[in-house]
Amino acid sequence: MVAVAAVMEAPAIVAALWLVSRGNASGEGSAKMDAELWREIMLNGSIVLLVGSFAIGAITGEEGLARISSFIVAPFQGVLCLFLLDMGLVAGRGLRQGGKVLQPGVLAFGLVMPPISAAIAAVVGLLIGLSTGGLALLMTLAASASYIAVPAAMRVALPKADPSVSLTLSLGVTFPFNLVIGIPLYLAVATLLTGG
Amino acid sequence: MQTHPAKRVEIIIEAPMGGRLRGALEEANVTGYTILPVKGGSGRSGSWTREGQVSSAGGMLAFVCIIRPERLDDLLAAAYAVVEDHIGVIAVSDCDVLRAERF
Repeated sequence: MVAVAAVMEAPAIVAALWLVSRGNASGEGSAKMDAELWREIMLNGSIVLLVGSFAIGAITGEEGLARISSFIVAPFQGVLCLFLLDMGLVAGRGLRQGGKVLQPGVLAFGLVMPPISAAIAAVVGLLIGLSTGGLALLMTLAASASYIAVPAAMRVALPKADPSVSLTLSLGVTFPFNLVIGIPLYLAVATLLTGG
Repeated sequence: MQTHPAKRVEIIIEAPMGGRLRGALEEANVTGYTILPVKGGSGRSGSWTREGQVSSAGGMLAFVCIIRPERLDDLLAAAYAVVEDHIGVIAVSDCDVLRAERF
């Protein structure tokens, strides 16, 4: 599922650019896609690291994990706590700015779209036979905004779009919503649907 | 001490465009520049800070370039082609350098 998160970046960018091109028949604010941007999307450092780590894990297996477990597994919970505390600060800053840049409709989109995406992911996850945990994770991924390659790629492709809206919405609204309400909701739904 | 006139070009540009600006400058044979991280600021697109950003998308970079006056137009043409549609500022000022042969 970690690899899925990385692989979902490119289709997300393509979908966003398709929506923009559909909504801008006049060409105003059209997307700027070129080979260099595609290279940046597909070979973004974070994506290469995620997919590369997945490949290394698949190749080295249990034995490889056992050798580095004291470095990777043991500190995981602690590092996760620090990461979430830091993300909490980021979300807090985003919320403070939110009132200045977010219109009610945009704010509503940030709260309504995650459960809709999660519902679609639930259907897809059930069709491909995911486990309870896998289904909950896919729903969470589908409900989340991208923080890896998409924001930078969209800045390059859509220079006329106001970054303060998208960045504030993703970090100040959708992220805390998913953390507080979304993830427990998706887990409950996944448990209910899979009987797990 | 003997000094020589030069131009100081400062380009503030959104971080995701940093690689493209660097490429454009090098294509215009501008090989001497310094890239500085920018802590935060405010402009037409609102205020921004690099603190707490998950990606570089919300950040900005500052390119500082000192160049001979006769090469200024090439630099500006290359930089403007990149900055034109994006958030950014290009400023030119006069300065003096000690070792003119380095520019």
